[in-house]
Amino acid sequence: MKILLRIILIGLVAYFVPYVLPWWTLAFFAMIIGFVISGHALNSFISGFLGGGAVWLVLAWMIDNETQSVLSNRIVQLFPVNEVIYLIIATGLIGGLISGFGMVTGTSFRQIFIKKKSRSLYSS
Amino acid sequence: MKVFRFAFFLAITIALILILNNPFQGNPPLGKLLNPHQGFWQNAEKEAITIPEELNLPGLKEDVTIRFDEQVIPHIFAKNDEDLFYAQGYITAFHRLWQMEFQLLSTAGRLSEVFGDRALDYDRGKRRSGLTYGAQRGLEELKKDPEAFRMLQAYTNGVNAYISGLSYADLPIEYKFLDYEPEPWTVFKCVLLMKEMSDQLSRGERDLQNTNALKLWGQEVFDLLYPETHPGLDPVVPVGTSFDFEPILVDKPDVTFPQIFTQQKIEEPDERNGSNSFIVNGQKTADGSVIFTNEPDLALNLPSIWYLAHLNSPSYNTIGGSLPGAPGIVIGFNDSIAWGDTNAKRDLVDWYHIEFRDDRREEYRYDNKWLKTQKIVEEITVKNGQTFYDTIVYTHYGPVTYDRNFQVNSEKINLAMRWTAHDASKDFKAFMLLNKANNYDDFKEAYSYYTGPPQNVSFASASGDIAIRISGKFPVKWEGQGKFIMDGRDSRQEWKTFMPYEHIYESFNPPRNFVSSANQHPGDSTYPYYDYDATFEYYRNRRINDRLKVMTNITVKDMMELQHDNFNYIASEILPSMLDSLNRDSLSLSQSDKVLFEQLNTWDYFNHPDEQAPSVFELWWDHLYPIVWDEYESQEVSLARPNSYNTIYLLKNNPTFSFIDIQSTNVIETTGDLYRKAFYEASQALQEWKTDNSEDYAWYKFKNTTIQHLLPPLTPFSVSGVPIGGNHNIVNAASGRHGPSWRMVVQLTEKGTKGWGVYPGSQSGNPGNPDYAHMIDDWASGNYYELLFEPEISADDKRIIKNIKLSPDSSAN
Repeated sequence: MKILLRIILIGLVAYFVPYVLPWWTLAFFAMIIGFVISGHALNSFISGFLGGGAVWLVLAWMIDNETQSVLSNRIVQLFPVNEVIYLIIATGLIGGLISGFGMVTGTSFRQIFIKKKSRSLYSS
Repeated sequence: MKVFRFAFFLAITIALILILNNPFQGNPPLGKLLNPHQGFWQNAEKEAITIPEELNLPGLKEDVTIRFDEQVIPHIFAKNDEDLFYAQGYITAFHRLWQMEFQLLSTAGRLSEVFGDRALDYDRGKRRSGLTYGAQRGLEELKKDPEAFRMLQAYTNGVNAYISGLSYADLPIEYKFLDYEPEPWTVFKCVLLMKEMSDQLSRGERDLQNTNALKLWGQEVFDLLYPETHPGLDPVVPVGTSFDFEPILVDKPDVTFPQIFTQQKIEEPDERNGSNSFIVNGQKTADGSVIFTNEPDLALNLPSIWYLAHLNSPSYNTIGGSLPGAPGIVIGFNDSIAWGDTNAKRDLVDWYHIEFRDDRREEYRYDNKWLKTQKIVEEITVKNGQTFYDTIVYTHYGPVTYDRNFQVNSEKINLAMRWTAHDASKDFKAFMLLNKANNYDDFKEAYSYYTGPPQNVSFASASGDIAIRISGKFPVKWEGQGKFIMDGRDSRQEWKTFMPYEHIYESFNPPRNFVSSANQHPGDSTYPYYDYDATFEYYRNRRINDRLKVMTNITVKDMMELQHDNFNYIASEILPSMLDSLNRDSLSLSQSDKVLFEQLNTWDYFNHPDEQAPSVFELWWDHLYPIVWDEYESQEVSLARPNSYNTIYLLKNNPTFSFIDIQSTNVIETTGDLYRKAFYEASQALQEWKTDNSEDYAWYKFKNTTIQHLLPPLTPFSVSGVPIGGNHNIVNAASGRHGPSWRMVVQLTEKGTKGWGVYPGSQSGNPGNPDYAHMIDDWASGNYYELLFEPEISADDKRIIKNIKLSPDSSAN
């Protein structure tokens, strides 16, 4: 359940936040989510990657669809790929990586304290 | 361990952000560019115009309505003039902000801020040309004219209202690629734009090259290589025009010029910057109307040099091409008159050799005195580099452009630039008056405020008058003054005064019933003033006049067709001789060479887009010209080769001239030898071209006219291979990168004016707009749009695609 909750939360953040704040602040919000809803590091990364990545991918795809690739058809010629879909995937990938690494950073920060706490429990 | 793991992930996250948010190895910042909320995706537009229907803007006085027609030309209806220019500034910025800013970063010598140190030499050249120095003086002059200044301020406020409403996501895509942001617009920038035009159109000169050539080859050869004029030219003001005034005469003093060699020069404006304008009166037209045409032939760029607008207020109703960054209409018409420009070539930049008292460069000699210099330290900010400081020494002539720190390595060579564009002026006043002029007197009065870049300003009125005047600020020169580097120590070599406005060239309702200009010589030898330039046009003017002389019952369509005339005058004058030399050698022609020969032999000299012969001729000529002037290759000083016209003149009339021979061979070549050698080279080059490109060497494919984005590496934003004929020196002046940047035809009758126009681009400068560059096809094939020009246009007019309302922002007051 935690993984689903994280995916939904990061998805919401990835959808709304970059409209008002610089795009990279997404990583910061991912850290908070990862910190609050902690879990296994790999799970945390995957949920961030999927949530943030999917939202950006879909957003890019929607814009591209609405504008009939008017700009992406030009931009793609500047990259070493030749189909617009790769630009959309690259957009999703950036969103995914930023969210995933942000989230796993938050989780691993939390785990520093969890470790201390569990030690004290067992030692008492 | 867990701390280490946290630190590891944190480091990766931060590194990712840094890499994706910053330019990396010359690539744009990928995260910033690709994210869907603010990156390039946000620049993709669904419709030709995407703008809110109601906008509240600070500083506006009353409501302004803007209606956009099918070409997205804004028809601006304002209730007062300040609001009119405010709205023009706002909407121009909406379509063209990046271009407006970028072209002035270039003029101000600030490209290093965007591109880093690879732009440093370019920036120094601009600063050392004194462009901002001239603009600063112009700004001070304009401040003394509150009415004109208010207009510029209103335009500026409009641009700034647009800029202040922008978020990162809204920025034009070029800012995102180059990773910088717009700064506030200023009145100074409007003035600087006029200096940019001067830089493109009136900075051309040959003083340094002429000095070198004279020193190398002596006066006699120099005069053969660079004659000032030829018999039988067809000037702007017709031969036989009388000049009915008492000229200010200056006698040539008995002076000598400095004998110095220079190796390099700052980049010259492109010689192909030219234009055509021709007008016929009611005697020549089918329906008795006056028909006016103009097209400025400039670099073919995207976003386009021109932005079309219709300005309407109680005192204005005018439409035409404006320059993004400046209020008003530059080439256009109103309900009474039409006006246009072609560049009036005149040598307005002179170089004075300066003798400094010592290497502190604080004083310089002037007759028997030492005058004080002024030093200005230019601070050039360099992206990812150290700020560069360049000390420019100013004399009373102007900036010492060339000195020990720039372009010359010698302590002894110091060249100060004297250029009319440095002088205080208020050229905007001219456009302000021109836009609402009703007749020839108003027109003349308007241009009395105009200093430059000098233009052959053409005029037509609904009441039937046609005219051309060569307007600008011209120094009175003695013969030969400023043709070579002059001695800055000698006051007799300095410009003493300027021509009175009444003494400029004029042709008003001439007996031939038409006026025309195409950058050729301004007049014949009876004009009492010295009007030298090195880069006059010799071909387009003759073709236009040849045609207009015989044309009668002219219609608007005829005038449009003449704008697209593809007759190759150069070919008509030299190709017969070239073919003749080959014919004598026909036995040695290979089978494929015979095909080329036949193509040229049956060619009618028209550079139509699908013809192959023009490609063959062009290649042949391009291989001939360098071997005629092979003497220039081995020279280590800066030189300009003779123009095409004089090259052909010498080939035909002076075949024993020593330069005809190819220096590196042991035999003495004849012109026929040169023609044949060039032909075989051209034939070889054509084979190579075919291998690299296509079997079909149709002219338009070979020429490859390209409308290029201002950032050439962004090739997908450019359009190449445009199917258009013509070439430089042809009326349809579309060459590879230059050509008609705005074609306009206006018909004037007592009942009113009607206009047509087209340009190679689009109103929107956004490559993410569905209409980006959409007019290029129509431009190439000669389709014009009728310009919607009525004092009132209703919101539901079927030619209108969008209406918006700008209202004063009450919250800001």
